[in-house]
Amino acid sequence: MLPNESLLNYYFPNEAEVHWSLMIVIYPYITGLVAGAFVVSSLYHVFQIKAFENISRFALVAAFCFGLFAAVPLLMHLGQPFRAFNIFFTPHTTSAMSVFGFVYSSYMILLMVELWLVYREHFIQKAKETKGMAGWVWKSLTLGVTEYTPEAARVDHKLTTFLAALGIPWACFLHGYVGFIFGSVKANAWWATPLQPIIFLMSAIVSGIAMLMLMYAFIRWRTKKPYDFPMIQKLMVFLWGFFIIDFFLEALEIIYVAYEHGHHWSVIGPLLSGPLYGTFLIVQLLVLSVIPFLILGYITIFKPWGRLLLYLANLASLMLVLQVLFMRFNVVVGGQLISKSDRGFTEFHWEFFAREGVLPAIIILSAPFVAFYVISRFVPILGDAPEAKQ
Amino acid sequence: MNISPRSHIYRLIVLLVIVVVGFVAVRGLAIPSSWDSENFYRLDSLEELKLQPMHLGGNESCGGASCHDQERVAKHKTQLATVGRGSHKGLACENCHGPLSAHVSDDKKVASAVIDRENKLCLNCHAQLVSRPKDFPQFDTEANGHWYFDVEITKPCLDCHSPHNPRQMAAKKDKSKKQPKATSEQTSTNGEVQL
Repeated sequence: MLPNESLLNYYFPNEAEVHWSLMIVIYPYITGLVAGAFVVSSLYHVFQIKAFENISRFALVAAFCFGLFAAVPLLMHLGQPFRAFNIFFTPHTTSAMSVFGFVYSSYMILLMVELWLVYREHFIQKAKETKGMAGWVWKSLTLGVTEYTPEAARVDHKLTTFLAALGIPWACFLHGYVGFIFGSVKANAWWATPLQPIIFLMSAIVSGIAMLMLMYAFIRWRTKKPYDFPMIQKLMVFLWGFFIIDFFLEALEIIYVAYEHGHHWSVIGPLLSGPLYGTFLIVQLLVLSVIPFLILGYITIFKPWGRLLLYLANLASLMLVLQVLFMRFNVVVGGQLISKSDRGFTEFHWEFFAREGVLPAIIILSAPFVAFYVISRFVPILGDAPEAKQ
Repeated sequence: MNISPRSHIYRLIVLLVIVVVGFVAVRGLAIPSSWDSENFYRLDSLEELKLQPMHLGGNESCGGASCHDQERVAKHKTQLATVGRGSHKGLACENCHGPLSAHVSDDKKVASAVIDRENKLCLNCHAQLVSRPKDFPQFDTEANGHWYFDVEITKPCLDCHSPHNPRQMAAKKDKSKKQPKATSEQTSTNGEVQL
């Protein structure tokens, strides 16, 4: 079926190539992981959820590592990395992207300051223990203050709480803004909805929590240390909660457009039954949403424990991490498949080695984990006294 | 030594101030002096663009005003008049014959203008494309008398059509219902424009 009951699949010659390719798919994905991981850290710092005490630092470091690479796909996409600074030097207020630069940078500064406060005690301790060049590096990280007094600790704690509290609306703003960039494109029926920022934000939190769960389980498995099951249980309850909001917002958006049956549906209807039938309806909505929804519901209501909890939590998290990746693909690429003529669909051509191909996407997606590994060599990340209740 | 529990915060603030001041300073250096913040472009770029070497001269330069060979001047003018009457009147000479800079430099002819007799050049505009307007002439074996002469897409367009006034020539051929003899202009193969 073609848009507006067109008999001929008509699209303009300049639409033969989908210009916003895989790099623009993984850009909101990585940004979402930043926002999601940060929310978990704030759940402890601000909302005093004690179960997340041991992973709050871990969540912060993970958010920082994802943040380091959030803008890399954009640089790859532009192909002229040095021009990226122009949006900082001469930002134009009519450009949503130029304002994103400031939102992203300020958020990264906030994240770094919070991390610095959290790790200050460790930096001071290392600065005292280490000699030579490494000692100077540690000392520079302390900014020359090498005494860690109880009063200073109290000041740090207060400021950390304040920054974590400030970080929540800022993280929401950061990722809501990514949704805003797409949602404000009024010429694209598949993107243009005021719900887009909220959908992006919720899916960001879902992907962030799910990714933290997978990373946590992997690290504990590799280091052969016991799992903190009460924390996993609680994390899955939150994941379920955020996912319910995310999933039903996505579904409501479609149902709303379908029921309204307006001019948008004349394009979106054929899009969903045509090019996006497999990746959106079957994979994203049916397989990768319904199954984790049921698994997480089971975890929340029946409270399984031990290995079963671990397997179910990992399975659900893996599916949700993929669900959000599919969601980004379906939004970014799906929207561009619609011809501006409203009379047909273009095709997305997969590439592997090209600059915006699958291989660079995999490399960029792997980079935060490499950064995390490197950082974990120098600073303690997981609070290492979980209660093993197996 | 008794230091303030907030001393590290003060140092952090100083560091952040340095970062902000550094950014403002780098920004000041990076923005071009002629930057127009109203219209978002460098005003100097207009003058710089003017200094770029000219490649295309437009049909006025082909009109013969700067050409010293009077015989050529007359031929150029005649050909321009022919083009001006036909359906190709909206085209620039340089579209098919290459840029002026490759033909004339410092008011002297440096090379012959290009003559491309391949169908590919014609089909750049006249191949069938769904995105072209319906009334724009697009090659069709069934239309415009092509069916009568069994014209396929591989047959040289210039065998029948004058590139300078394609429609008029085609009308003549339709009346005669014969394969026309190519004009001297069309059969020239010495690579030089017969203007």
